[in-house]
Amino acid sequence: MTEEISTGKFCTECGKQIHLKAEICPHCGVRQSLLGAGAGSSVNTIPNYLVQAILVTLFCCLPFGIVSIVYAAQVNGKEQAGDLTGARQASRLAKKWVWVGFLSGFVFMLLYLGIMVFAAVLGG
Amino acid sequence: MSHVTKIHFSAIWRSVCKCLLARRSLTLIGVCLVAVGLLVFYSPADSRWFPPCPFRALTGVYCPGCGSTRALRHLLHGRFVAAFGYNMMMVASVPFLLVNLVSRLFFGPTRILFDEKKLSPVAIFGIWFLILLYGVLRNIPTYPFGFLAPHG
Repeated sequence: MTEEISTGKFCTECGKQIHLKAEICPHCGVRQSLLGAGAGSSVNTIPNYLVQAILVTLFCCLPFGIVSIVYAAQVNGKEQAGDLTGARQASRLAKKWVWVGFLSGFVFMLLYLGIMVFAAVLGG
Repeated sequence: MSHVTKIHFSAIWRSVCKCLLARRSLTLIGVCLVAVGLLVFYSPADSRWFPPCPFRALTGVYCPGCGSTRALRHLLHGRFVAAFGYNMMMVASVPFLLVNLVSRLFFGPTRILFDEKKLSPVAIFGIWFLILLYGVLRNIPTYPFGFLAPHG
């Protein structure tokens, strides 16, 4: 059973492991293209979260965004070198730091808003 | 009997979250529309309610994203030169992001224009270096670099 899973393919959209013969990803519902079906395919299929990383860098939190751009570069580098396991690992880390950056920026905004409301109430 | 009429806020909160998650794209569009509306009608430069840049608030130094909220407001009003003055890197990246996101929405995952999955690692590190360099240069107060700092 585990052997079957480990030789399965990965969703072209969300990158999660799916059944080898799956035509539609059960996680995100996106139809799998025939191009990305083979494991040795030349088409890049692992998400690198570069767009999200740049958005987080510019709008939420610079330090964590910078970290996730580095991992985004590693995703493409390792995938081109044929290291699919390493590329998926880097993809997970890029996603993780995008979320850490987004949430820390979001929490800062909430804290700021809370303090402003508090000050407005105190000031009349 | 207060416990009979007690409203279960946790249950309401949970069902609201479930409803929003089930209609994720609609929620996203709604949040974007509200944000755009706020930015069109209220100026982040004059209103105290827009949060400042966390990085600048903590360190006192401009980050590569500083001024992008004010620049976005000017963009939404069609004042491109003013937007450029507040954050030229954000303004320059908007066309790429828009084309990427719109083609992702309409053509599906296999035919994205400016697809970040097809960029070479060197290009990604180039973007990374450009962002960092921009962040450093806009903090130099002398003549040619002062233009990079957010200004009206």
